[in-house]
Amino acid sequence: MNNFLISLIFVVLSFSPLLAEDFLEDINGDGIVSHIALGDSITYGVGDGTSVGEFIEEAPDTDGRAGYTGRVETLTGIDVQNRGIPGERLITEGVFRAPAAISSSSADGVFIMFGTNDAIFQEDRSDYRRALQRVINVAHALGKRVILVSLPPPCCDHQGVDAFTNSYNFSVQELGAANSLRIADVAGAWATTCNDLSECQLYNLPEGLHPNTRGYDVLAQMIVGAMYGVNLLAEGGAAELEAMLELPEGTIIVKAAA
Amino acid sequence: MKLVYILLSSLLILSITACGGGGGGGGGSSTEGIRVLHGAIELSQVDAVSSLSETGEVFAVTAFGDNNGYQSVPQEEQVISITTHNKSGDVIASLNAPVAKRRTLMLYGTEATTGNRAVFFTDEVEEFTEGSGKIRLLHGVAAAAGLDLLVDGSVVSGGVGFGGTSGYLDISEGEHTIVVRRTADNLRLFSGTFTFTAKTAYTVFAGGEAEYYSFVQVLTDG
Repeated sequence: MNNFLISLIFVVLSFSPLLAEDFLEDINGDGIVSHIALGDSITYGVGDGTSVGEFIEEAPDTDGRAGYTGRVETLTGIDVQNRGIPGERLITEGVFRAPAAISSSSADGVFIMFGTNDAIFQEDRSDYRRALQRVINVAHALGKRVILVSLPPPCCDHQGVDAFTNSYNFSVQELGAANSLRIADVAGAWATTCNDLSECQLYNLPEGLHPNTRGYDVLAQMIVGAMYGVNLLAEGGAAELEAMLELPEGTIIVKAAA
Repeated sequence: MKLVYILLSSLLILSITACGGGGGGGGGSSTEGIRVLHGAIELSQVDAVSSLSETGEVFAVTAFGDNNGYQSVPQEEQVISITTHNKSGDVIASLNAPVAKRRTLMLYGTEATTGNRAVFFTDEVEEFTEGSGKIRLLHGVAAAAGLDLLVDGSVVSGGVGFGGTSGYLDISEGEHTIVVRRTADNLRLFSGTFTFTAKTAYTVFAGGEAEYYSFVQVLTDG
């Protein structure tokens, strides 16, 4: 199935009224609304700080304060603790550290974005799905709200990895529906916002795996959209979110689906 | 492959509740009916449907670790089907419900090793000893062939099998410390102190997976 169809499925699943959860509430009553972000180098923010058009064969390291988590904090004023670990796979590492990472946090919600490294190692989709369900269950049992983040399709020097990330995105879709979770459809945003998916300007190029500054803007905006229940892939979604957050017109760069 | 096992013993959902709220549509919370307890670590949220429902209405929606209490379901012979929520997946189990006022359906196991499993228990006590309640253990913890239930440091039921129950045991009214541990190596999964009431039945439900994430709930039955 192509990316457009995947995006359509996510649009339907992500914004069903049945899936409404509020990521702006102090769920645990500690007086602070906060979330933690679990994931790999893309959560950590590797590759941030580079511009569209720069030639980048290896994405630059960052200090963990950049990436999408910092942007979500800036856009919403809500604390997001970055728990991304570069190079980490979900099924061999992430799933095992998740219980301690979640239980030791006072966060109200958990953003989960894993799979790019699993895809590089061509891990089986069913293993990925079971591991993701484990993390969801642990978060739920600990009283956390969960947003699942779909994976943008790698390109260029990492062409071919997208076959696996696309298959994992089906699991993200399945588990989002089965567990009544919101999905930040970053794969869908790539499909609408990249000028050319085979050479997407949102990535460091020709590396094609880690987003650049503009790519992290898109990623963060999709997560904020999911937090606020605004579908940025729908016509008028960007304007709606800009109004909710009192942002200048044109701040949201995610394009709606045609 | 680097396996980092996280030991999270004694993770507690400290809920002694007569009956929980919420749950899925159709049944409605009650002191009688069917209670679905979900301890299967690799299983999503599930829907429960009775064969007595002509419309296939879901009477309970249950996620891992939820306690939604009893949902009103007729006290008749029926088959209960458990499917992944939102009709998004396969049928997990279909099993005959015992005919009783109160029944518990426990979900346990792991998809990869044991498979996701379901089993019914009846939650009725015929007779209470004067000044005592009843307590039982439901064992839904993967990676633990047997569990022990201890009250105030003494084993009151040892080696309860995976997917099984200790059966109801007397517990005197008053405050007691409950411990649940893995039989094989005494790995402690839970310890907590509770006040027990005479003529009341309690279920100690243990779910999840030992050495990954497990939880214990102490629930009143009915």
